[in-house]
Parts: sequence; C-alpha cells; structure tokens
Amino acid sequence: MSDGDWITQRIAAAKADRPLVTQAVLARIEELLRGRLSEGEVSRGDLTTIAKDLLAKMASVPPEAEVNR
Amino acid sequence: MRIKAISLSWFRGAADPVSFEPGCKSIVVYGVNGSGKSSFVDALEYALKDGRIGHLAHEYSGKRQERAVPNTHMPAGRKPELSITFAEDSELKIEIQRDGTCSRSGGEAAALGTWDYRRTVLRQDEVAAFIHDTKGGKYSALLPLLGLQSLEVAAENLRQLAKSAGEVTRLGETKAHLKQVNEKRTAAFGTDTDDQILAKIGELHAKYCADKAATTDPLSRCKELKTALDTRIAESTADQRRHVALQEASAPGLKGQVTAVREANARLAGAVEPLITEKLEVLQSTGAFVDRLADEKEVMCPACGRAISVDAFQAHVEAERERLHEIIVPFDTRKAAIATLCDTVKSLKSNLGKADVQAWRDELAKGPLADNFAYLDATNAEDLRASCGEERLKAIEDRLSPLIQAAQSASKDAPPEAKQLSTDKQTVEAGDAVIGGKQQAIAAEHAEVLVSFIESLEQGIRDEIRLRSHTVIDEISADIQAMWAILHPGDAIENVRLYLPKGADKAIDVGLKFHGVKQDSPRLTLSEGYRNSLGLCIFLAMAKREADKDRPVFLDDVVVSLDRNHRGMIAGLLEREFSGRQVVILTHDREWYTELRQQLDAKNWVCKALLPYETPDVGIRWSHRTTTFDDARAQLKDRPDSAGNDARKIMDVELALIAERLQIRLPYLRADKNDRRTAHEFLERLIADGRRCFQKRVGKGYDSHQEVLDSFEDADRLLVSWANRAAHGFDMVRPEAVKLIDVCEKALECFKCSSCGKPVWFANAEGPEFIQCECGEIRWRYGKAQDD
Repeated sequence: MSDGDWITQRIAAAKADRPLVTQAVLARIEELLRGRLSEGEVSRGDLTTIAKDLLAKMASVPPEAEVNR
Repeated sequence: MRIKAISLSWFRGAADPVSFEPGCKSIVVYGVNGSGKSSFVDALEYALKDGRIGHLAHEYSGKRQERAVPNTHMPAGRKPELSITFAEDSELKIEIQRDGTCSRSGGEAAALGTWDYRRTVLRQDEVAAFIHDTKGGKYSALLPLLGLQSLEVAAENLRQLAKSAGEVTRLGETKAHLKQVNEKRTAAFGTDTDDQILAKIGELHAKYCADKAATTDPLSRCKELKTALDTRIAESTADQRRHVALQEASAPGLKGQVTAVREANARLAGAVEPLITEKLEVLQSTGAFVDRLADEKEVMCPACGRAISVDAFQAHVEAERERLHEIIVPFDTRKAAIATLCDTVKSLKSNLGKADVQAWRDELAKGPLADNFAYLDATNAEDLRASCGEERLKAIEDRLSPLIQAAQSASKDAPPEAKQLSTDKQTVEAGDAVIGGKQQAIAAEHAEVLVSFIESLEQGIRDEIRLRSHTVIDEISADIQAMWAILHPGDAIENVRLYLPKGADKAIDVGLKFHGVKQDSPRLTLSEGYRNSLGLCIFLAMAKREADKDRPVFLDDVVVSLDRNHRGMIAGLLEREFSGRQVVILTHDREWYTELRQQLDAKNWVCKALLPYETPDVGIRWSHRTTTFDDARAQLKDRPDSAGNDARKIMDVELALIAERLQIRLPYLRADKNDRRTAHEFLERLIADGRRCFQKRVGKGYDSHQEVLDSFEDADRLLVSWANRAAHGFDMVRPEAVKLIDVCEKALECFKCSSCGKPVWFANAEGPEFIQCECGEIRWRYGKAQDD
C-alpha cells in the first residue's frame, strides 16, 4: 500500500457511520494529514484555526440534508 | 561517517590536548578505572546532545554542566575544547566557555545532529536501562527505528485537534445549557414533537400577530409574539396586569433549580477537592521540581511521588491535563444551573418589582413576608454567578419560595384573559428557547461528530502505527534472537523478542521463554548478568538497523556483570554482526582486553591502552604499549610489591591465551584449577615444547629459536622467585619489580616477529601443523612435543 492509500483508507474508515462529516471536511483533513499535521507539532492557536475551519465545513451541510437526516 | 580521532583539551579528565585515534578502524581501549576512557565518550555525547552529558545531569553540575565538564585543574585563561575528526578529515570543533555555553565550528556540526545517541553509545549504566524502562520509554527509544515519527506526530496533532474542536464550540457548556432547555421544553410542551411545538407557535402567531402572517421563520415569529404579548399586557387593565405579573412570578421552578445547583456543587466538590489538594502540592513543589528537571535524568513526580524519567514526565503531565479536562464537565453543568437560577431570580425580582403588583406587595409587606421582600430587593442576581454556595442557596430557598407561593396563591383567581395571556407568554418563551436551542443542538451535534471523527481517525493512525511497528519489531527481534544465540548458545532462555502489549498505544516490551515458560518481561526471571547481556543484544540490534552503516558504535565498559564465558562470546558476535562497522570498545577489564587483542582481526581492529591517571594537571595519557604492563609500572614508585604482583597477573592471563593459540597441551586439573593456572605452568610447558616447536628461519630452513627460550627461562625464574614473593606480601624492592616487569614484557614480545611485527600465530604456514608470522621469520609447530 502506498503512503497515500493508507491515509485515504483510514479517513474513509473514520468517516463510516458519520454522515454529518462532509466531503469538504474529508478533503481538508486529508490535505492536513499529508502535510502540516505530519510534519511537526502544531501550535494551539493554529489548531484552533483548523478546528474552526473544519467546523465551518461541517456546518456547510445543506439544510435539506439536515432535514432528511 | 567513521571517526578518525577525538581530541580533548581540558575537557573532563583531559589536560593538555590528548587524542583518541582509532583512525577510522574499530578499536579496543583498555584503561584501569579512572584512567579517562569515558572522557572520550563524554565528548561524543556532548557533541551529539547539544552540550549535555546524561550522567552529569544532576543538581551539582550547574545548569549548563559548567561545573562538571572542565578539568578541575584547568589553568586560568584556558577553556575546554574538543574536536572530532571524521573520515576524509572533516572536523567538528567545540569550544566551551566558563559559563558552559559553547560554540561549534566545522562542516560536520549539522551532520552529527542526525546521529541518535541511543543507537551510538552504550555505557555501563545504560546496558539494562532499556529493559528497566517503562513500556512507553521503550517505545520512545525505538520510535526513530520504526520510522513512524511522522505518523506519531500526526496522531498527536489529531488528538489535540479533537480537543480544540471541543473547546472552540464550548461543547461542554452548550450541552449543559441544552439540558436546561430540554427541561423547560418538557415543562411547557410535555411530550410534544418539534412539529407540534412549531404548530403551537404558529397558532399563537396567527392569534396575536395576524398582521404579520408573512413571517414564517419560527424564531422571528417568537420575537414578534413577545412584542405583541407585552403590548397586549401593557394595554390590559391594572387588575389583569397584576395577575399576569403574579402569574409570571409564580411560574419559576425555583426549588428544582436550587436543587440542580446544589447537586452540581456536590459533584464538583467531590471531583475537585482531592484534585485541588494534589494540585496544591504540585504548585508547592514546582519551583524545586523545575530546577531539578534541568539537571536530573530522573525526578520525583510532585503529584504522585514516583521516580519518573524526564521523558516520561511529558506523558505524566499530559495525563494530569486530561484529568483537569474531565473536571471541566461538572464545572459546565454547574455554570448552566447557576445561570438558570440567576435568570429566575432576576425574573422574579422584575415581576414583583412592577408597579402593577405594588399594592399587593404593600399589603403583604405588613405581615411576615416583609423580610422576604427586603431580601429580594437587596439581592443582586448577577452576584450568584460569582458565589453560589450552600448558605446562599438556603437563603434563596427560604426567602424567595414563600414569595412565589404567595404569588401563586394570589394568581389563582386571575381573570381568564389574564391567565391566558400569561400562559401564552410562557409558551412563547419556552418555544423561543426550544427553537433557538435547536440551532445550538445542531452546532453541538456537528462539533460532537467532528470530534468523534477526529478521534476515530487518530485511533486509525495508531492502528496503522501498530501494524507497521509489527514488521519492524519482528525484524529487530530476529536480530536480538540471533545475537542472543551467539552470546548464550544452549541456554534455556529462548524466543527473546520485542512485542506490542495489547490494549496499549505507544508501548513496547520485551518477552522471552524461560525454560519453556512464556514470560512477559525479562525482569521476572533473568539475573542481572543475563539482563545486561540482553540489554547489549537489544542495543546492538537497534544499532544494526542504523541506515548509515558508517556510523560508529561505542561500548563503554558494558561487560562488567558478564561472566568470562559469555564475555568471551562478544568478540565473535561483533565480528559476525558488525564486521563492516566501526566499533569502539572501552574496558577496564584487563583479562577481556587481553582476550580481545588475541581474538580480534588486526586488519580491522586497533588495541590501545591508557596509562593509569596520575593527576588532573597531567590528565589522560596513552601508553606506548598495547600490553598492560604500564599498569604495573604505575605502581613502581609507591608500591613495588603491587607492581610485581600485577606483572605476574598479566603474565597469567597473557600466557593462558597464548597457550590456547599455540595449542599447548597441559595435564588436566580438577575443577576450576584447570582455568587458574599460573604463568609458571605455561612457561614451563612453553620452554619444554618450544625447543622443538618455536622455530626461527636460518638460511632456507628453520632452527630452534634459542633467544626466545632464554627469555622464557629468565621470566620463569624471576616469576617463581620474586613474583611469588610479591604476591605473598613479602618486601620487593623497586629495582627487582622493574626487572621483573621488563623481563616479562620481553618474554611476551618474543611471540611477535621483529621483522614484520606480527605474532607467530598470525597465519597458517605451508603445512597444517604450522602457524607463522606474516613474513615467515618465526613459526610454531603444533603438537610437536607430544608427537615426538
């Protein structure tokens, strides 16, 4: 398995049974895992920024999806 | 990057510049205790660990170890210096100032930064350190070898990210608030569904805001309803307004709210009190603790009192942080309960402060409720947020509950219209909280899902680390087993291996089979000697996996607790597993040094001896000899007896090994006497066999090597007469000791060719029964004496 494959597979496994996790969140977390999060300790301030960004991406789920949920 | 030389000047035991020069080869350095061997290892550690030496990390060495690194007798104006010269003459130079700061120069400074000390140097006190370390410590030590640092970093960052996501959404507080909203919902709407609640709000909106039928957003409807109801109440009769105000005042579930705060207080106290006690101790110890942390390898944890390594401290602090984090939950619950109580008191004060109820109040204030009203008027509801202890809660309960009961009683006979207005107002307020809470609930759910997603991903990465670790660990275990088998052939300790303990992340341990029984740790059964031997195998297995095969391996006095048999296997192990690496062995064990000199291949190995240390001004000095007779010479001045005795002991060891090389046959003696023969026994046999076996080239043929035999006889005669005397405590004068040492040394020199410098056992000669030096000037014939 190449280095990229395992990241994708682990993300897919974590996403299972969590329909609220959007594609935007998955794309962002994959990008982070291939870069910044694997390169060294990330400061608290930066983690807060990343968390807010991910939360915003969670909240971007279309309302219809929320109703159907 | 092999090491060509390490030079020291006023660094540790060194005085004027002294150089350790393996010349890129492997080397065995012998020196009695305190001769300065470890100063060279200290220099390497200093260079690798950015100016810190592990065994000097204590409270007396100073913050930058400035009290331990310089030679104690360093003259004014001098400073400690060290330089490491690598293959191809690249060099790293370090100059150390009096305050311990240092400056580096040379192109190799950066390259050395990639060396891992734990895979480069093994010292005596570190041999069993890996085995004695915690599972987490073992994992940290092996992590660079596993090549999984980036995954470990990613997992840790994800863990922190999950926490950040929880914190930015104030998840704990929001959940506590939503719980209160839910209680309000049940009180106002019972088991109504969301749709039923929206329908009720819709009906009320149609009733009170008929002119705003276009508004469809539920929250906007609630807002409009509140305004409309307030207007309607304001426009009603004074009697109706009084009833509405009293009804609003009678509605709050004050008792339940006080109970909720009380319960939250109790939960918090139960969780916080012991924690505060512990944390106070932590605070008191922190000052001293931090100071020690800079100097000690191991410190006592101020929280739990256990000895803890600095590495493990990080993990310990993290665990403490986790505990504190858990305490936040009851805090949030309490905060939300107080907020609700605070709102209720405010609402009560507002309703009973209205002009509409003034007449009712004045009437009651004449009776027993006067103090209650005085208390209500004097209460600042906002103060509750800062302080809401039991005394306060009891006062609220005792003073305000009667007022609510009085309001309830007075509002019983309210006109139906007033009752309806009041009920509708409460319904709208509850509906507003439920609808607003819905948005918060969605945000909280998003946050919760995101947190659990990140946590699950972190676990996934930890599983990946575990999966990949298995492969590397199996490979290292195979090396450990192979090395163990070389050091302990036939021992009933097998299947020595590293393993990942179940249910623990970031953990590795060592397992084995002891006489067929599986053991989860070597500490359960192995003796100290075996543990050290295992520690050596683990270190070597880890060092073997070093990607750069040109990096040296330093073994500083690592065989102290090994018996002769096992110690004797190490040369074979190193030649088999590390033949391509530069190995530096430092030892104070003269017997082992002598063995190694005989066993190791001179093409790859250099053997050097240090002189016994005299004074700090003189510093570390090398002996010009590879033998250890300088140890004896060092004692000539003050203790000629000891010098003579040392010479005898050196001869006992050297000749035993030479006899083995030359296959000298001696009569078998019972038990350990066989292993403890004296130099005299060997010399006697060497002289007898040597007449026929030790030959020197004469012209085109060989003849008996008479000079050698004369030397052996001289040595034997003096050893029998003088050395025995020295050994038994009789006086031996200095000239006698000098002569004995010289004669013994000369006798041993006879085994070396004066032309090529190689020993007589250097190579096989033309026939299988002969061995000879490199040039063939001298040779030895096996078994000649017996055959004749």
